[in-house]
Amino acid sequence: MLMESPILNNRYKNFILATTIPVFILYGIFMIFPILQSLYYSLFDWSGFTKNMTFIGLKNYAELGTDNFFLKTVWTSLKYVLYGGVLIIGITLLFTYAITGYKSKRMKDLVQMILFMPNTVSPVALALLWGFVLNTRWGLLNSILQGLGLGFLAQGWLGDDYIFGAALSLLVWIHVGFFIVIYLAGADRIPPSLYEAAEIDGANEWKRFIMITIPLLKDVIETSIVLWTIFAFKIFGYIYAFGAGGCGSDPSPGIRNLSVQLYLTAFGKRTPINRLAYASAMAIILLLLVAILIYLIRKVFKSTEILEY
Amino acid sequence: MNSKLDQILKYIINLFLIVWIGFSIFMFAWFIISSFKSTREIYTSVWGLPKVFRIENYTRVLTDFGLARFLLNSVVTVLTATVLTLALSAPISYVLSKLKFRGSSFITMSFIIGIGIPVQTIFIPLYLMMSKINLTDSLTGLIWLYTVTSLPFTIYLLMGFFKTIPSSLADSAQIDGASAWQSFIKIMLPMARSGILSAGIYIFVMLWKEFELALVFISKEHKQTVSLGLYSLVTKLTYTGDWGGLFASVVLVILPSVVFYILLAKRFIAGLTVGIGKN
Repeated sequence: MLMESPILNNRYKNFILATTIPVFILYGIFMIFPILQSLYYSLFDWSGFTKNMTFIGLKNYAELGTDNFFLKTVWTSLKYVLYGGVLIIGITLLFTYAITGYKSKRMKDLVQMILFMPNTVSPVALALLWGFVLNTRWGLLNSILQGLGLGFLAQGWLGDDYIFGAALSLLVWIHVGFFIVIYLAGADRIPPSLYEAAEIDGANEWKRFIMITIPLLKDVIETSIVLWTIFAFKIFGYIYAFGAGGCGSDPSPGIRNLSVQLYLTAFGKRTPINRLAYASAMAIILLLLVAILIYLIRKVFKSTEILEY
Repeated sequence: MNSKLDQILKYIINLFLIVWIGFSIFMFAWFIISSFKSTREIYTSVWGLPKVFRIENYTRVLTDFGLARFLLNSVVTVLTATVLTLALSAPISYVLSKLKFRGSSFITMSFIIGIGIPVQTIFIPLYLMMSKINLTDSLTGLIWLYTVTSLPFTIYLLMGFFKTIPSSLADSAQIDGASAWQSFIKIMLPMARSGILSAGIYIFVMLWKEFELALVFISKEHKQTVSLGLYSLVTKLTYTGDWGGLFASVVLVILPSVVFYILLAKRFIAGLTVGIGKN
């Protein structure tokens, strides 16, 4: 509107340039340009810490295709996406159902606040905590199981057989609290008249949730699946600090996602590998995998639209 | 119909939620309780109460183990980065949300994409770049990295806030001859105050717990921030077997962000969810 007036337009021009250009350049230099640099480095044989840089084309990528350690971390990342996604979205929906049924606004706020709380805490502290909860000898879980007379169910949760589930449960606990906030905000914006109409038609609470809340939360659910997919690949601190048998060692191979493996390949200190170029190739694969998955998720959600209307 | 089944289902879900919440509260209480125990007590009754509340656990980690230094480093780094991020994001968010110009949707899109870029895809080039200009092992370097990586999400949040503010006031100020800067600073900024505050709280809490960038870019002990410092302390204190001190460190590290969050939870959540359901 105002922009159409030429005098005002001129007055805006400097303002627009002064506010956008510096920030955009900064962003470009520190966040966009480095992606291209990663792509460039990935074509070399290079430790990153010496001058010896040999161009090897796509050989790093070919090596990734046969690197069992790497392939395993890709698989583990996908397991986080899938299992974590089902558990987190499922539990978050159940909690949304329970919490939207509360009459008191204060109660809603309080429950939401407590659920989100782990998200404000250092990942190192939470990883440490989880080690205590799941410790074989005096961990909380095994103590409770023994107390309930279910001692035979007690396991060495931090051993190789269960370690993935152990790490996954930590991530689920934290991220249900993250997504519930978004789901409740979405549910809040559904017009009450829809529920009233359904109530008159005789739909009970559960039915109303299935028929009204979930379809109207579709955008929110899609956003949360996209976000979780990104998280599953990039989550680092919780997994890195959840070292085998407590902190002070590198995380067990069974729980490493792509970003943990990438860090260890580039900068790991306990068993230095120091292959920066090779790790750059991992970074590019990471970015591609995330992009492809997001594309697929969006496609699936688009195709379900026909079913609804 | 089968409303009885529905009732049972509802009870089960609510029970599950109560157990979940009870567990979460217990976990935080347990951190605090353990921080007052002697190491012996932690060994003998890990889930029980201490006999004496040992405050010396706190003084010990603050002085002997350098936790005070980590806290100070984090306060300086995180506060500076938060203010810097807001200062850089607020004007551009206003412009991108209120004014249409050539390239505006391109710039908006590239920031939105930035939200999804995992920092792992760029930290190798960033590391090489920063070491070339001597900004590794430096809090200044960390402040820059925190600021730049916070930009996309902050701009997204603030754009959501500016969109909710009517532009009529700023428009009429401009017709009255105010410059674009004047109407932004005198009219739009005060109206967006609560949104900017919410975004600021969010950035602060997220950067306070940040671990990965600190791990890559900081190695000298006296430059470490809280999450990284806690990680080295865990290694060290597990070795010496000082579990009481370890839990005191955990409490000191998580306290600022948790307290900040509890006091301002409503604002915080409003900030996080401003964009939800708008499309």
